Amino acid sequence: MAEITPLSDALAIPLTRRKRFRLAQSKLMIAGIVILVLVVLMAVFAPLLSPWGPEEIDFDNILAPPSPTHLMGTDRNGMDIWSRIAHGARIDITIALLAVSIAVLIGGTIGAITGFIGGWFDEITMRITDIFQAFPSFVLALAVAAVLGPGVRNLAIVVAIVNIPPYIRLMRSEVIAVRERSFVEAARCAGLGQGEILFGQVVPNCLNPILVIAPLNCGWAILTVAGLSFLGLGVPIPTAEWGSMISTGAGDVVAGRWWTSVFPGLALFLTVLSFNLTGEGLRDLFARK
Amino acid sequence: MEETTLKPIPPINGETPTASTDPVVAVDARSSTGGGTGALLDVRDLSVLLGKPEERVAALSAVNLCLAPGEVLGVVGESGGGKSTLANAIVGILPDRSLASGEVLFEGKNVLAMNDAALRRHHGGNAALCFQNPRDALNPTRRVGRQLSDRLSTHRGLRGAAADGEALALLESVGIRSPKKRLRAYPHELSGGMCQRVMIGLSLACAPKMLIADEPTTGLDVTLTQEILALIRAAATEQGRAVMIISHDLVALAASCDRIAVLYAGQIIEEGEVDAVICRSAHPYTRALLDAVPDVSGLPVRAIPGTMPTLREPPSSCPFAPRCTMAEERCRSEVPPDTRVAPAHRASCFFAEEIEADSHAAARHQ
Amino acid sequence: MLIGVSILVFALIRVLPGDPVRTVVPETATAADIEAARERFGLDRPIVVQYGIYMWGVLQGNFGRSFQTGGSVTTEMLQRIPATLELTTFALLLALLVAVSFGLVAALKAGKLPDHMSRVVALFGTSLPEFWLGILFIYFFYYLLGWAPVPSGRLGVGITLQQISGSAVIDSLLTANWAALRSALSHLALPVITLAIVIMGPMMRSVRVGALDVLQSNSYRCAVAHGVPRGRLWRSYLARPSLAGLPTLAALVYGYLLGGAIMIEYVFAWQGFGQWALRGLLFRDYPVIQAFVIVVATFYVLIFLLADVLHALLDPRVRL
Repeated sequence: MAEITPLSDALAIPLTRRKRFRLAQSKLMIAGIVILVLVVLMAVFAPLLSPWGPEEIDFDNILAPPSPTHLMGTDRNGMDIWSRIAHGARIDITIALLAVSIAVLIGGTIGAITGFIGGWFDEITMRITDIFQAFPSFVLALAVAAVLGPGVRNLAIVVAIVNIPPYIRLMRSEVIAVRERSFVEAARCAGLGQGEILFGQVVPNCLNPILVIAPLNCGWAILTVAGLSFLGLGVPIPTAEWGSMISTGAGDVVAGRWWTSVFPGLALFLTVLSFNLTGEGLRDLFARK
Repeated sequence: MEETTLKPIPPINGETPTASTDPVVAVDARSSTGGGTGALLDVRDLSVLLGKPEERVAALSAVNLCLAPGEVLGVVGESGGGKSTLANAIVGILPDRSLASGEVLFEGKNVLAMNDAALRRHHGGNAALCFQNPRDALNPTRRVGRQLSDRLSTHRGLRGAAADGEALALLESVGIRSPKKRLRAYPHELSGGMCQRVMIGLSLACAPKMLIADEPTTGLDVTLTQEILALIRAAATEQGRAVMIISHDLVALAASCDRIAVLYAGQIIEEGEVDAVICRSAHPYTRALLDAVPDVSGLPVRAIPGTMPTLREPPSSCPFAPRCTMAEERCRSEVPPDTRVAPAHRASCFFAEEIEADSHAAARHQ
Repeated sequence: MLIGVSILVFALIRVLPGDPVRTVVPETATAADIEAARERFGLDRPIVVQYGIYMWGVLQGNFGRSFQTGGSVTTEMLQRIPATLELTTFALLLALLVAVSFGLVAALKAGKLPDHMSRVVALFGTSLPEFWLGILFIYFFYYLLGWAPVPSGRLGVGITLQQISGSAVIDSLLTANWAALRSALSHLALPVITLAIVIMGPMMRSVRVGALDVLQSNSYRCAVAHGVPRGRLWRSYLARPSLAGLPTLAALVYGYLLGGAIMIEYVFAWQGFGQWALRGLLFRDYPVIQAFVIVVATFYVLIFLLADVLHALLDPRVRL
């Protein structure tokens, strides 16, 4: 219930618990962005940062624990784990960013068009989208990956395809909400063409939810890439990639050589976490506005 | 009835106006007129600030009220005037972020200072609140009968078949036809009027010493309004509870209350027995409210120009001054004293007595 | 719509590079042998005919024969589905339990420690790769601490269990086989906890948001103002209205579980539906893949139907 105070005291403005909570939240988002930047830098400068090549074998040090020469130890093939992690960042992040960008572009465009035009085109598109969404996403990714076969390029295609339907839906519902608004009517009266109206007027107002979802989506994309590689459906074997590293090291962990899977997993976890923190932060930012 | 207009009344030269027969007693400020020694509720100098520190609102300022069992008090005011805050303070459900000073004494104990356990006993059992917008305030996922038995088991110790029987009786007593069917209904299946009756039933099921009805007749048609108000009044006259009815409808209150308090910008600017307040109003705002009531006889209605202010802190002048036709310099710089114009009638205006006399005269001439 | 699904899957996998026949016939096979094998599998008929034959069979419960094992796909599926169902259902139940209790507590103590903790747990959970978490748990609880059993399969070595429903827990309860029950539960522990951690995040958040809304609502305040005691208050006036949106979310999460289960089955050698399907995928075993996809899609649709029913039960304003 209410606190009882003399009114004169009451009129001062204290820093309430709520305010402190908000500050903490933005700290989290900043932490997320910082980690993300660090990971990207690691990916970009991988060759400079790795004392060993990503597939270089050190025959004397198979399954060696962390040491000064091998900061994070070596795996069962004698390859340096730290170097592989740094190079693996390139693959995982590139694929995720690329795939999500493609999905946003294609899915967003289709969604915008179908939301704007409606009619039978809309019907058909939504039916097809429904079929794709009748599967849990990872299962769909699995199926498509099996069809396309292993390979970095194929992985990107898989993740992109699986992520297109949600963006179609998202953009479509936003466009439907916005297209009835008066400024659209005004643009029409001013003689602007359909395309100009759609992409010049409507779409720019529909971007907020997409901006929030995209980073979270990137996080999921990385997990999917790693998951597929873990199962053997992703990158070809010796390529350095976090998921397949975890898979290679799994058997060894059970026998006590923890570094083979723990470090790659940690890298994976932190990267995904940073994407999620960024996405969450953006969501809070937009919510407050 | 002649048109009544509010004319500036020249200052008195030490003579009392003719109308009032009761001696004017200068009041030692801010005491309520009702209740007396048998007061169940005694609100003393209550001020409440609501909202976040950056956006504080003075919802109530120095409110004094009393209520005794069996009495019906009507609290009238515009939206935003602090009526619901008053109800919340009495029941003990002010939002966590609010600040309050003064006392809300219920049977001598200060509600504002109660600990959690005492508050829980106070909720419902002492004072039961009928919420505004009853449909909104009923649990949409729970049957009406169950919601009734929740209160019955807590406050009257009834369970099972006994509770069901009592719930049935309660629904009947608030005028619901086919109560058996309604017991098993969900709130969204009931009409607005029925929801209101259920809300009253829920409050009565708490066996409260005091019943507060917050806007019980908003959105209801005239016949329904009368029925509901009669129902609520019966809680006082037949069951001996203290009853407070909050409304913006002065006319409705006039018919069902013993006393009326007028709330403006969080302050009680007039309070007294219903006849006195209606026929011998002593405050310009009350007069203006009465003038603004649509009259069946077709006389022109006067809206009150301007809007009620939202105060950020307790006022240091008369809050009604900006809209008052009688306002003078001192109205804008000093807080008007609580003037007792009759033993059971007070108003906070510098010109209370003159206005009271004027109203009395006007009423006499009808 | 399921027809659309089946058409899609049929067409898609026919596009698969890699000839299924080649994975089955020995390396020394001649062209004639390959042709004969193709004929045996019915792959020489036109696609539309293949589709027709297949769907007709499916409607009768016959999903064809595995290219790899030659066994009935239906039989192989039925042997393995209960294992996966057991895993995913326990994981969902555990996650629901934690999500609901923590979500409600977080809302009740909004802004204080439990609230912050729940946000952190939710965030971490959704960022964790379940396969990695499973491996970590194995390392800690099996290798280091020795608490968990060998991460292989659903029952310990030497435990025999009569199969009735296919679910180890249910069957051991039905036959009062306590050794089997203990073994089954200890083998379930790690995989179930791993999956539950990864999925509880979004559900916890949903419950928390729903509960915060309810706490501000007039219906809750009215119940408080009428002195309804806390037990009843929290059960019927807070929890029940807060959980209305949960079934639909849980259905979505179950879909994610099906995907995650494949990886967990791999890590823990669970011999379930997921592992079986994975093998089918890797070896282009068409009947296996088709069956897997159709069953999963059908199951997913049924789950959503169930969620709708639960939603209507929780919120009487919703009409089915």
